[in-house]
Formats: sequence, structure tokens, C-alpha cells
Amino acid sequence: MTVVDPDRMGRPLDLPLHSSEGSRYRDGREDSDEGDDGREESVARGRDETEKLDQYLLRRWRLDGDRQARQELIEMYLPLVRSLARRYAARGEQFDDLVQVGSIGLIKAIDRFDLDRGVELTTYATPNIVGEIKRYFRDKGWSVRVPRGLQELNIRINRLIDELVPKLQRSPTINEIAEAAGVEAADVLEALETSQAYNSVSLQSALGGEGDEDALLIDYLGKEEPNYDVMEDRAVLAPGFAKLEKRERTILYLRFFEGLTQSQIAARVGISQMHVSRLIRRSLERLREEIGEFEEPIVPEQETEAAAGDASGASTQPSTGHPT
Amino acid sequence: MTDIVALEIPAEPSLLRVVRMVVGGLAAQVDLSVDEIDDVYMAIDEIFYATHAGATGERCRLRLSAAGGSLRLEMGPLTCEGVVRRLHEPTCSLIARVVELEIEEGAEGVSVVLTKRREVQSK
Repeated sequence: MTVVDPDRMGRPLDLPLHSSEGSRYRDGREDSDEGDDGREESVARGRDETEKLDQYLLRRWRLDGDRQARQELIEMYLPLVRSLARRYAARGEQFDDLVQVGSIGLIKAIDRFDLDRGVELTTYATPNIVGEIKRYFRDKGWSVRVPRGLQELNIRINRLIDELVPKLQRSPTINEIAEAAGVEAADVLEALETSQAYNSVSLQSALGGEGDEDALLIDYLGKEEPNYDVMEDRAVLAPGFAKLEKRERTILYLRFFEGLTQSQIAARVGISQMHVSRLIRRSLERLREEIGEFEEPIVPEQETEAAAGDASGASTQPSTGHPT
Repeated sequence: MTDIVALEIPAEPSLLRVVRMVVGGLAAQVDLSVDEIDDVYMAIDEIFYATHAGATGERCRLRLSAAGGSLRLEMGPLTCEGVVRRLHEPTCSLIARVVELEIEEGAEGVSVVLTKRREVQSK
């Protein structure tokens, strides 16, 4: 269909009017009869047409106050918001919440876009969307006040660790992270310490991996482990473990009984090492609380201390069931 | 060269951050990995809880050293009641699977020695 905007554009445009058609360009899923040779040209043409559509709709909104045009722009760029939100979805916040927050950034970008600036809407909208998502993390995700610079370094380091683990085939050292980040080792330590101030992660949160946005952590952790019986037979741990949820047992099991490192668990589950660290801490806290309730009346203090050895100079190790 | 740091803090959970920062600095010197350092952090939290839970007005004394690819942390002497029993509770037993944990009883009280060694990386 030919759309003519005689007042503003001064020339006819062959543009799709519906937002869903605009979205196809961004998803790269537009049906095409063209072969490989024609694909590049087709994509370039699609991009060019999308840009024209952006300009057309932006003018309708900014100059004429056409709210329908604004709505179409918002819908057209929602795939961009989802794509950016996915990058942050493995950090303890709900993917849908991040999309909502990112959408606010998109709307601000559309409302503030300067038509005479000569840049594409995508270029202008992306930092607005990311900025809004980051602000959300700063405002909602941190349980105590942590300086913005440290929070951002923490996020950057989190990402670097995820990149370094497969590259090094092991967990990186502080110095390796510092070198990769271009900061001092002390800065890395301080930034890592800020993750202690970060909210606990919801096990219902989306993993946010590529093509995996609908998978929930619980799906990965909910599988039965064949050795649970062996584990639960260990008298000292059984009462506490029995009180934990299956998913909590699984992650503790992988760390403390299977001997997987946090990085290995992270790779297996598809989340970051810091995320695994927080999950383990939360599970240990729960275990401690549950066992605390259970232990007090059962183990008389004097008996236990006598068993542990009262003689001066005695040295003991907590029972582990197997050597460290 | 062995780096030794002696630290004494009020037994307040909020001050564990200070301990973690010192531990992190020493651990970085002996090239412990992020995973290994996090094991130590968790161990410190658990040991601290076991040894100082509910304590008021107590001091927590630590001696830390790092050399030859390993980090050693000694906490004590601890004189609070029931400390040995609490150090044998299951969460400490779990932690003892990822760090070396030793409980030493002497004339002045109980000491807990935590050691974390850097894993030899296979190429």
C-alpha cells in the first residue's frame, strides 16, 4: 500500500502500515522467496524501508500528535526491548519485569527523539532502554546502598567471569579478571563484595539464555538425583536436607557431593557463577535455620563436646562423610 | 614470602565484610580462583555463625596467612559455650567438603583453622 504524507515528507512511500510487519524486519523472520544471493539485498532493502517507516511514524507522532503512530512505534520496537532485557534476565529479576522497564525506556526515547538529529531511532533508543533497565537494577535489585560505579563494575565482572570460564576451562583468578577488566585486583574484590548486597535470586526467574527465555531454573534443578538416597542416609545431614526443597537439595548436592565448582554448576544450569554463589548461600542459610531448630534438643552439649575430645591439644574435623 | 595478617573485630556479622576483603586480598596473592575464594567466604560465614551466633560484646580474633598457593585462616581462641558442638553441625560439615577445616582445642580455648589450597590446573 502506498502511503503519502504530502505535508511532511513530500514524497510517496511504499510502507507497511501495520506494526507487525515492521517487527518482521527486526526478527529476521520475514518470509521470502529469494535465495541466498538476494538475501543480503533484501535485508538492506528491508532496513531502509524500516528506517523510512520510523521517520514517517515519528513525524506523525512528534509533529501531528498522532498517538496511533506512537503506539505502532512502541510495538515495532518491542523485539529490541526483549532482546536487551534478555541480556539482564539471568541476574535475579523477572524477564517480564525487565521488558516492562525497558519499554519505559523505549517510550521515553520515542517521546524525546529529535527528528533533526540524523540518527536512527534504534541508535537513540538502545541506550535509553538499557539505561532504564540498569536503573531498575540499581533501585530494586540491591538490598543495601552500593555506589553506582561498583554496581556497574560488578555487572561487568560478572559478565567477564562468564566469558573467562570457557576460555580458561576453569574459574579465573582475581588477577585474571582484573587484567581482563582493565582495573586493579582490589577493585575486582570490592566489586565482587557488592554481590553480597544483591537480592536473593528467585528460583522462578527466567534463565534468559539464548533461545531459552521461557525455561525456568526450577526445570533444570527439579530432576531426581539417583544418589539422594545415599546422601540422605548420612545421619548428620539427612534431617536438614529433608526439610529443603528438592531444587535446593539439587544445587547443594552438585556443589558439596558431586564436587562441581560454582563455575561448572553455572555452565550446567546456564546461569552465572555469581548467581550460583547466591543460590548456594541462600540454601545454606535455609539449611542452617532448619537444622538449628532440629539440633538443639537432640544433641546434648556436654556429650557432643566429650565426643569431640575434651583433652587439651585435641584436634578434630567436622564430619564430612568423606575426605575433603 | 608468607603474608601474615592479624585481625581483631567485634563479633558482629556486619563486620564480616572486613574479613572478606582481607581474605580476598590475600587469596588473590596466591592466585586462588573466584570459585575457591567464594568457598572461603562461605566457610567464614558458617564458622562465624557457629562460633559467635548470639554473642554480644565478644571479639573475633583472626590470623590469616597466604603462601605457596594456599590460604590459611585461624579463628580463636574461642571460649564461648558449646562452640565445638556448633562447629560439628551439618552446615559446617558441608563446608568442610570444600575447604579444610580443623578444630583445635588448647588451654586458652578452641581455635578453628581453615585452609584452602589452590587447585593444580591441568592444561
